[in-house]
Amino acid sequence: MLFEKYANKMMAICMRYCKNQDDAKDLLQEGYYKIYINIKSFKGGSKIDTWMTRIFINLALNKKRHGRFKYDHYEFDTKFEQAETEYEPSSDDIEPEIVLKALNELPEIYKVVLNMYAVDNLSHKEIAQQLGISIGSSKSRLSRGRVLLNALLKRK
Amino acid sequence: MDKLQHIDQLLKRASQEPANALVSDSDWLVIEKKLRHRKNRIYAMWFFLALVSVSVGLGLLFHNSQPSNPTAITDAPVNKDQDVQNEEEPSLEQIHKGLNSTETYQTNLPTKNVTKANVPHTHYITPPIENTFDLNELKYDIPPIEKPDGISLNKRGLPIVLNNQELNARLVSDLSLIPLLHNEYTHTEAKNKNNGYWEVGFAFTPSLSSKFLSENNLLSGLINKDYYNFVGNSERVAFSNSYGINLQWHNSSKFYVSSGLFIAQRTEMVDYNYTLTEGPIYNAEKTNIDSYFYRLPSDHEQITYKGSNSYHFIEIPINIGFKTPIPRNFESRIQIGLSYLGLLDASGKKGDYSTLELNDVKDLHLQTQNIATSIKTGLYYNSSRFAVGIEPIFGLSLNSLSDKTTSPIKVKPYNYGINISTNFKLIKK
Repeated sequence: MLFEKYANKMMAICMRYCKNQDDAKDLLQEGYYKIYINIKSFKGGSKIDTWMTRIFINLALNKKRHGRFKYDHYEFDTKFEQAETEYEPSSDDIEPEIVLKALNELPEIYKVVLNMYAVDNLSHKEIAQQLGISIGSSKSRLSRGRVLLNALLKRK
Repeated sequence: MDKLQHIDQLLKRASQEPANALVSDSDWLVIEKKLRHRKNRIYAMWFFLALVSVSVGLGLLFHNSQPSNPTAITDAPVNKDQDVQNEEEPSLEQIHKGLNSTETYQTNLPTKNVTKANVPHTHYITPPIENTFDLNELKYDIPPIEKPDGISLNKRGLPIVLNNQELNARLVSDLSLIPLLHNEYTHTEAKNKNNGYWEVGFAFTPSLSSKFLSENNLLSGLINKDYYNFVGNSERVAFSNSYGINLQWHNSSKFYVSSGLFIAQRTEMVDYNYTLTEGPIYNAEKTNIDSYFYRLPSDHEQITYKGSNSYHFIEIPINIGFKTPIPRNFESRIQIGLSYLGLLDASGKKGDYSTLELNDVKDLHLQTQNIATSIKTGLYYNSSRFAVGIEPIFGLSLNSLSDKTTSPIKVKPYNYGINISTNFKLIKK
């Protein structure tokens, strides 16, 4: 089956947008269901995995919009204040598992923007559109997300 | 902060199919299973209900077609030319066994199928068993009744008193008395077998409605790439209903025909929330979207609309039904047929297939003449004067509600719900 070929790649996306593996599996199932019923709308204008990726990201963002995840701004603000004082870059040879674990510890609003920009290659304009925020907010969240993640990686 | 851009590279490397993101075969099997399950869940439920109802109906039909209790019927051969009056009477001992002097008689009048081909026309009563009646309770304005020799059934399954022709004449002419002597169901059946009858009443069908979407091959190039994500998937199942006058003709067989006049409302919930940042660029013939242009930020359009779109139809069905009696005055009925649906009006808003902009539903090109099919099956409580039924129903439009010459999407609404009918019987006496 064509879809199965991309299962690992899609699961990786789900993992990046979810807090834990169970949520990621749920998201994977829902994403494949959505792809299954909408496959007729795929016109071949892009690679199919790109199209599938878009669907998974949209679905994950929709789940977040509907309150599946709670943003803890107070927690972030505290962490960010601390992180600003730890501005030295972290090492480049960190294990992938540690990077992903640190990413998961970020508040959702920064984790999502980091994911969309750094991994899924979306522009700030697209991120702003998808999240319903301004381009400035997208840039700001990306920058703060990097700072936070850097601080977390230095502590690992 | 630019020197932190190496974080992006770290993330990208780490995200290349990490070890904990591998989907095992068993996980994949679960996904495949759920895909199939979710797709078919609704249809399976209704198919199951229909299957159960049909099975019960066929089971009862088979059960009822079995010979009735042979011990209550004589083994004499059938002679259709033989008149009741001329039939050879059994001995008094056979007739009066159990008859006492209080003029209260006990009979074992068969409650059904007394006129089966393999059953003699006259069934002499072998008391005492089920039904009890008192002749003194009959409000007959006739001279005192001579003590009858016994009770029998005539060719139509109606009771006669063996040695009293005057009483017999009243029994036959005044059918309203029969229920006192005879099982009500047999009475109704006996009349219906001769006359047929109408049922007229009110029917109400609360239901849920949704729709099947498919693409119109000729115009599918006009569907916006974001149509399904933004519009198609934002339209949901909603409550619908129909109500009106129900009319049924029941003839002497187990089949019946029904029609009526109904007002039907189909609805859909919509929850649009998207931003138009692109617009379609069509080919010269306007039969295909070649590409998309980016709107200037100042031209971005936020589409936010939450509500229900509703469509009102006048519905005239023509159905054929099949009924099976069930003990205690119940019937199972199954009905299938076609309906004419004339669109009366439509209201609400809908995202355009190509531009994704909001349009008034009433401005869309909708088919005003539609044909739908439906199947319903369920239980009726069936008395001599009225019938009350409750039936799960599934209805499906056979044609697309959207105009096939202009719409790239075919929309076939369907609904599933519970039909509740209350019918009064109009029986010719």
